[in-house]
Amino acid sequence: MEHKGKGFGIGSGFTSEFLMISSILIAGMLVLRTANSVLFALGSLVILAAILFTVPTVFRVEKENTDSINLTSFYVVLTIAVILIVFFAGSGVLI
Amino acid sequence: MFNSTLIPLMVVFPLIAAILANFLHQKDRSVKTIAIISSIVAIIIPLITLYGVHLFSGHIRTESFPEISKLLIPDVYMGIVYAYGPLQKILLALLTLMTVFVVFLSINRKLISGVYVAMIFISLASVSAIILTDDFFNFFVFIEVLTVAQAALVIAVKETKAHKAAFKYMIFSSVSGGSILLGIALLLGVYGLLNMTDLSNAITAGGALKPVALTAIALITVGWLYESGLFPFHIVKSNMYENAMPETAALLQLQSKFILVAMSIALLRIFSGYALLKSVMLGFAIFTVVIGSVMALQQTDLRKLLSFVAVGQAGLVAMGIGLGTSFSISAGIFHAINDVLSMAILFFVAGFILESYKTTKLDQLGEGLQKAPLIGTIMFLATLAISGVPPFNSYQSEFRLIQSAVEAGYAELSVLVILLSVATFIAVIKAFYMIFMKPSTNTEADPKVKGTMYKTIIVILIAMCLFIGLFPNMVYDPIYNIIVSLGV
Repeated sequence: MEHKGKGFGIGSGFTSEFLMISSILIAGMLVLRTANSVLFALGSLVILAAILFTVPTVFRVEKENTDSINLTSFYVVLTIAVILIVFFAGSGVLI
Repeated sequence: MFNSTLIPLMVVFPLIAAILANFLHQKDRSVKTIAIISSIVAIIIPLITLYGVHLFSGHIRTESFPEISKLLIPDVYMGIVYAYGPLQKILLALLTLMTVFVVFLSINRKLISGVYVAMIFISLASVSAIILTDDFFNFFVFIEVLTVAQAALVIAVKETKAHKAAFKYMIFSSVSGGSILLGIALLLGVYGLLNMTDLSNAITAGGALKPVALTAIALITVGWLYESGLFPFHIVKSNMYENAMPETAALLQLQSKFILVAMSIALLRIFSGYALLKSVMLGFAIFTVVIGSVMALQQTDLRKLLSFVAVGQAGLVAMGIGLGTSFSISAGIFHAINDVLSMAILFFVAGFILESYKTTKLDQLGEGLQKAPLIGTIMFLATLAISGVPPFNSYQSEFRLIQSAVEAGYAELSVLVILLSVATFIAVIKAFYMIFMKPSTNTEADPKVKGTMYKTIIVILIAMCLFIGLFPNMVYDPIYNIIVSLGV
């Protein structure tokens, strides 16, 4: 990452940071808006506060997205679990 | 001459070509001749084949449905069925065209070897079968064959990184392949059927899904994520694109996106009444598109950057499909078609850069516009095309995606699509600046590399992007009509 400290690297870093923040906010709003309006207002504030305490997020994202087989395996297992829970709970089998 | 009995030939012919090329390995002139002739024939077959259905082994529809299903559906297919319609024609025409380009570029690069050509044709046959088949087990078999062929194409680069990438791809393929097969086995156990149309009828007739069927959907969804290169498998896919030869990466990304389309349609048809599936698809699509774009912005190597852009764009296609309306699904498929064209141009440019400069590291490149003005101009146009700037093709599909998101009641997603288009533009234009406009570095271009074949192909592709951008309905309308008729 030779040029990361130079103009283009900084520009890319800022763009990806803003993109991450906007995406998290938009996705959060989308989920909470469909749930409840009070939850939407409170949730948006919580997300905003959480973002303020975690910036810069982009380096963490980059760290988690290496081609390490361990990390990918971890996320694959997590994904299988999440999909099973969503399908079973959403269809009223678990609850 | 025009006959629907040619339908199986779209799978059988590339397989025969692959066997022949493999047989003649190390006899370069014969392999070259077979590769050129087979490519031309492969591109003609989808064009002269009439729309229709092909029933293998002479099986026709029968009224004796399996007793195990205990469901009252009128009749079932007992054999493998291949269906060929306008959507399949568009996808197969593009697939064969891109395969021809890759074969010609490989010949030009002197990469030709019997096994390499065989793997290209096996991957062509596999994707054709996946697009055509209406049988779930046949679908699985060709997905597995494709995975092996794709891994072999990456291994052919003969670099340690490429071997590692292919090895990881195969490891996760065992997870995904196992998931899909177990899912199919569970569905077969519950409904006694493998034909997708019959399964769809049986599931609709059966009412609420049983826990076993839910497990099957979950497992097949995991397979769908892998085959489409969506989160959490985006790293594995982008690693494959990055380590393959750039022209092969152009073919790999096309195959992944077409499988994403074919598998999504299959899933939505079979589980048409299960709304949660679309929500899960949408969730993973949003995740992939954001991570793909963020990671693309961080890259300093052209091939790695393009790999993440390709992954992010696959997320955009899945987003359209996950929204679940006829309009959004059609827009998603339309975007897949448009995106593979623009991405292919960018990968071919990367191929030229690699051949000419022997590196794709952005900080080692510069002043390329003086050395290759045509390539630079077309890369700039392709950057506009992939970012959804009018009058190019992706503008038409991204506009429809935005419109469909608003119509579906998810206005936030339209904002996200715009943001991501901007991010894609910034990522690729940064690469364009560093390769073509930045003051020169020590890296010198090889004067022997003329790149005539690259230039011809990318000019054809950018003309296609422009043509679809100006006349979108020629491609979009057949897709929309099919999606409406399928009722997904």
